[in-house]
Amino acid sequence: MGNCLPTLFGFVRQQDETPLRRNRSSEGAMSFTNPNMLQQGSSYVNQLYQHNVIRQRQAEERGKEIDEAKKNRIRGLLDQIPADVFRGDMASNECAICMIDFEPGERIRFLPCMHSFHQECVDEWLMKSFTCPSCLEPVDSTILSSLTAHNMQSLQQITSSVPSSSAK
Amino acid sequence: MAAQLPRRIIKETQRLLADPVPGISANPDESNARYFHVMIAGPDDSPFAGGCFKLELFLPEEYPMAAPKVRFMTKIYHPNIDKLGRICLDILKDKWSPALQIRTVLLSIQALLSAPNPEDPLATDVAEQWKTNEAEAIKTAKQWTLSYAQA
Repeated sequence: MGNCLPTLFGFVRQQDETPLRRNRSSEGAMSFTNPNMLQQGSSYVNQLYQHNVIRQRQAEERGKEIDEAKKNRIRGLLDQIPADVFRGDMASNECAICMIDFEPGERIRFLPCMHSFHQECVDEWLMKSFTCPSCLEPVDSTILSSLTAHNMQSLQQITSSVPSSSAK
Repeated sequence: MAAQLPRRIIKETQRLLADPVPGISANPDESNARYFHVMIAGPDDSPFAGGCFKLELFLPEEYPMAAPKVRFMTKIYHPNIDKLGRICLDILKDKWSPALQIRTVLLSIQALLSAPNPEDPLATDVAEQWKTNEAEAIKTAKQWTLSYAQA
């Protein structure tokens, strides 16, 4: 149906074309095809469009900068969370994120709540949410700063000396 | 085509098939291992008892860093499930954690059927009915279970 319309219109126009109509239509055609008008119109629209694009890009870049700043801050915090290489004498465990057993030589991260994961697995999550995947406990920055004072070895000494300290 | 299936998804699928949750079945689609056909039996202590509810579960590319997408395919009268089958459940949104699994998600949905929560509604009209006239709401839920959720 729709296809018939243009031919029909063309036919009708040709049929009742009067001098007046021809004049009008040619005027109309002039105003539409006037190269100056077109350029003016389009350059204005182009300007608007370009402004818009620039504004969007700026907003995106600002967003990226904020994201990057946040990621850097988290990376800084991640450095404070103890991580160690898994050894054969450690209790065997499955990483709750990738569901694969820890293998000797793999890097394991120990969160303050004592849950441990592959460093690679948990770091990806901590960049999104600073909570333990297993217990949803926030990875508290105050606990972190107290942990920074010790390396893993002294941490182990602390955990093994807990009974004596609680006794006094 | 899609990247290789992560070992976690393979492992979860194997465990789901080998050791299924009572009242729940989840089977991966033949052509897409990230898409699961799920059936949950209405819990006995709920207005959905005797019903068999069909759901679809999809593991997005970011899984397990992002929650699975789950939707009821069977019509259900529940304040936390809307007309389109979308589910209002915190662990599917802001409370997701990568230590959760398909199994735990489906268990939570099963628990949601036992304990509708009209205070945190998704289907507002259903929640309103549930709050103002619980007996009538439960009656409707039972009727819908009989009408739409028969295997």
